[in-house]
Amino acid sequence: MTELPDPIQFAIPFFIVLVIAELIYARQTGKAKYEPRDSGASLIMGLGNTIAGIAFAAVGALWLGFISPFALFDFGWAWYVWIICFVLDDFVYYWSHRFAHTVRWFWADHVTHHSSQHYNLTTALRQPWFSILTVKFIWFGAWMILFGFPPAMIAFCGALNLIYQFWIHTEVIKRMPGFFEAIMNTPSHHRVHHATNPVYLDRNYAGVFIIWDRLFGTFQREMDEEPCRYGIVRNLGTYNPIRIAIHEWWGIVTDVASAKSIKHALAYVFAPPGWSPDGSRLTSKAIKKKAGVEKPVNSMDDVRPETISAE
Amino acid sequence: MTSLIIILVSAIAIATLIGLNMWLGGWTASRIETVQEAAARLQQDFLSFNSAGGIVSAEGKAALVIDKDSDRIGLVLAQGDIFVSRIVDADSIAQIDAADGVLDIRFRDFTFPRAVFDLANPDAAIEWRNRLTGNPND
Repeated sequence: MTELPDPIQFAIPFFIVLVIAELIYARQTGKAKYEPRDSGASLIMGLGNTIAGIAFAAVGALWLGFISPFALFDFGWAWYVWIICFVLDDFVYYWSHRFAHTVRWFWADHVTHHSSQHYNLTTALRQPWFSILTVKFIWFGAWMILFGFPPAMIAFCGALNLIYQFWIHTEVIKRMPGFFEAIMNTPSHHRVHHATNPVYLDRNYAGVFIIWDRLFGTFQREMDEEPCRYGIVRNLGTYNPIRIAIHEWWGIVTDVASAKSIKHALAYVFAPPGWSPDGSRLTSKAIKKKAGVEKPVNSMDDVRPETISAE
Repeated sequence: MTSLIIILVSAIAIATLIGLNMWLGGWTASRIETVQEAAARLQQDFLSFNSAGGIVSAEGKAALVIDKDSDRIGLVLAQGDIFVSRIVDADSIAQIDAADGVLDIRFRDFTFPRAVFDLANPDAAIEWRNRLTGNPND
């Protein structure tokens, strides 16, 4: 099998330089927020993710080896195949990411990335350690291989996708030019994705191209009158990376252990995050309904004012 | 070997970045000034929360607020430059002590392990301990 270099390894020095630049800019202008324990936790989560990736690489390789012979076509390595591969990989990323927010089993993994109340370049590196438990390389990693794209090409495009997503984790850039905001994922679009304001919950799942959100009805623009509040619905009171990495997995275990029926146990694992049999907790959908913002809105003026917030 | 080098270099870079962040500063410790401010934060986090009174710790690091409509008690904790909030009930508390005007609550939730309130008033600490454990007349 053809092997390509891992572009993320080459990108790490640039990540570090950009974090230092944003840190200094934050200090000079106050346009970004850095708190040492928070950024420390994010960076350690990133290192743990790298170690987990190395430790479990063999599992992914075994899976690749198993399914590759079943590919329908062999698209080869032509330049246009690269472009199609990159776009399709981003399309798969959109759906994988959407499921990561709407199925608790996947959310238990992805919640790590959203667990900071800060939004800076270190947040991009706050990544999960136990992604292997989701087995998402089976659910989402197989389609393009079975279609006929070379596995090394898919892995390379996936890495480029992740590198692209690094720079959008910033408050320093307000808006990009209009044409860019229309097609590409940007800091503004991704701030919305990380926000817990009801109107922003479960929006903008895009990786590189925001067009997927526009196509599938999940796009929400950032509104100046509704500043983003970052984090998760139930924010964490800890900076301990181990606790951050396992908290939702442990939540699933304790909920399933307390379930009164198999149906409830399955719902605790596969229903949207926040589901509970008696409705005592709220899913994103329930929160949005309560706040009167079930559909994407153009302006907060369109929303009943009494439902937004107490401020 | 390459992986080991990447991990070691990354670890050094992380330590350097944290040190740089500490040295540069640029963040302000969060502080709760009033019960109303804590109530507004709870309203924001839980969508419906109307204050019927509460208490803020002497150093502004924590606040307890009673919800007028449901008698729920909300807790807001200042942590670093942010705030974290929870609805507190007797089941969520692992241990609670009220001594010398200090209310010390340890929670079962390992992502929100502890809140300490210096209330500077022994009676108030005992009153809130009893309220939180569901024994207001103890």
